[in-house]
Amino acid sequence: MSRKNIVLGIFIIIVLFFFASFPFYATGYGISFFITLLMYFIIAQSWNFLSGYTGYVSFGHVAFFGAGAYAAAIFITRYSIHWIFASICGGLVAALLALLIGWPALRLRGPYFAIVMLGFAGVLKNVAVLWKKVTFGGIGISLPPMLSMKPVYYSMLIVAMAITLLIYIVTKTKFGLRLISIREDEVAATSMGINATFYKIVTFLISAFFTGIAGAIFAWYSSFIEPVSTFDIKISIEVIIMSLLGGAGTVAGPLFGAAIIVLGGEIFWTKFPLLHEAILGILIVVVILFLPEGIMGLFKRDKYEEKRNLLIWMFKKK
Amino acid sequence: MEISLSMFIQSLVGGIFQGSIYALVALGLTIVFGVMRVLNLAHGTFVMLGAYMTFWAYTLFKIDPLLSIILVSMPALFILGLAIQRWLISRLFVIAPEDFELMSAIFCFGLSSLFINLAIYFWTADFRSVRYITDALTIGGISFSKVRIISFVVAIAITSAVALFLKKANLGIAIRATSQNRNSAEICGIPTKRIFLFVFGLGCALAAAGGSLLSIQYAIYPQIGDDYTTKSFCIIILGGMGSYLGAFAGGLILGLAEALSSLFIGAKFSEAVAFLALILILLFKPTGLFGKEGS
Repeated sequence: MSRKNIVLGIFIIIVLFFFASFPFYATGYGISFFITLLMYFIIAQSWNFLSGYTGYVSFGHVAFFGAGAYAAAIFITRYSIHWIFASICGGLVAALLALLIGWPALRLRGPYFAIVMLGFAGVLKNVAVLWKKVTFGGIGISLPPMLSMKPVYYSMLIVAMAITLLIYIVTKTKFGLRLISIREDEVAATSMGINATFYKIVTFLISAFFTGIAGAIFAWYSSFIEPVSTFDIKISIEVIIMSLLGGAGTVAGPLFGAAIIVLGGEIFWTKFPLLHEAILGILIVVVILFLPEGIMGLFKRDKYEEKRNLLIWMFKKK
Repeated sequence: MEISLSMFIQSLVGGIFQGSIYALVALGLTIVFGVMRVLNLAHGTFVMLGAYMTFWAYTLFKIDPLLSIILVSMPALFILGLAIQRWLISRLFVIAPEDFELMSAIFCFGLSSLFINLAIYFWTADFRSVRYITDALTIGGISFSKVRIISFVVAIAITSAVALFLKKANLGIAIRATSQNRNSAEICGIPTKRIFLFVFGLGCALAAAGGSLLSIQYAIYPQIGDDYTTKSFCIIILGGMGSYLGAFAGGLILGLAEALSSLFIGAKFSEAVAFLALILILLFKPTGLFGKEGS
């Protein structure tokens, strides 16, 4: 164990301890804020698992969030299933949808997939509005009131830890290596004998599953869902910017990104509610142009690429 | 519900009218993608900006909407497109040469979010419309609103003008050469950077023209472009990405498919037609109807 690893380990233990003990001394507001934060941890990490590691960018992750939320709400209200099981069902429904859409879309190159996901989120929103028998349309679904926030908090925490741990493990195994090889050069990866479609679909299913669970717990937590806010494209945008800001394709990056965006939103953007999304848009543009590897990229020792790009930039200007 | 012949013809014509606007907007998108490989997810946003340009020109200065397409909305968006390409997207080529397509998509997504929300902030989310020509033309028991006929003619005129320009003009040939192979074009002395500038401006201007034509037919609002982004992408995937003929045919096909499905199945589901077409084409012929293998 090097010194760096020990410091990192202690840091992780402190953070975990803080998150685990938080509900015992926090106010209701504090807990609800942290639930939102944890929810974004989950979605950002799910997005990161798919898009950061395979390079297939999803512009419609909110589709799985909304699908999970609706599935759980329907299971809870119709069949009075306990919310924890309903959440897992929500995740499974999201994964099933991911299989349906990923099967045609993921066999193709990235740009097609990006567009398909954008359209898919829109279609699911329309389904939620129009399929009134099941979803009650625009009226939305009211769930039984939630009695205590602590179980919700801890379930979000466990799921967030699970996805982060999963990503960590994956990066250490051949599975992760194969994903990265797909991202870097899919044709080369396939010619090395990697079944790219299989790996992409598995990753996509896992990503959708966790996003669906986040949506399902959110549905129970907010005890009311309706199509427009549940399938809000803002969630897709926020998740992308969180991962990019922190550094897509890294284990900790999306967590930092999510923390910054959610905290920043709470402190800063509440003063400009109307310009919230415009600011997010500016952030995306700025991060892509000036910080393409995110905050985690700043910690990288190898600045070779950066210097090379800078040289190209200067050379081309002349 | 009984469907009479006149209803059928009416929706057929309505579909072609709507399809002509789809074709116009999608043409802009396919040129930008074909030449620059930019996945312009802000294309619908430029449609919206074009629509608002016409609306404001009409409301504030009483400029005739058809005139303002040429005088206001297309030039304004052309310049905006130039600026975006010059100062922002050109940087992207340097930063992310490998996964440029996806980075450009995320970038344009951010740009679109910015413009839409600025529009909501400054112009409010109210529905607005240009009251232009409101009467209708009746031929043999089938009525068409005059404004839609005019839009159809204008859309077809602009689309054919651009097609002719790409086919015959020197600049158009240079653009097609760049889209076929950037490096070879550069070796032949084509200033590809300037071509890129012009192409992105042209793409925005075509979107703006489509937006202007929308503003005289329907109520407009800041999110009006979102549909056009996804639909335009469906169209160019349907027709083959980067194919000009494909964009035109795809636009008309989508317009017709929407009109006929809303007649036979119900208007509710016509929204999903584009998406369904997209999935089917991706499953069975991923290069699109007019696309080339490996493009």
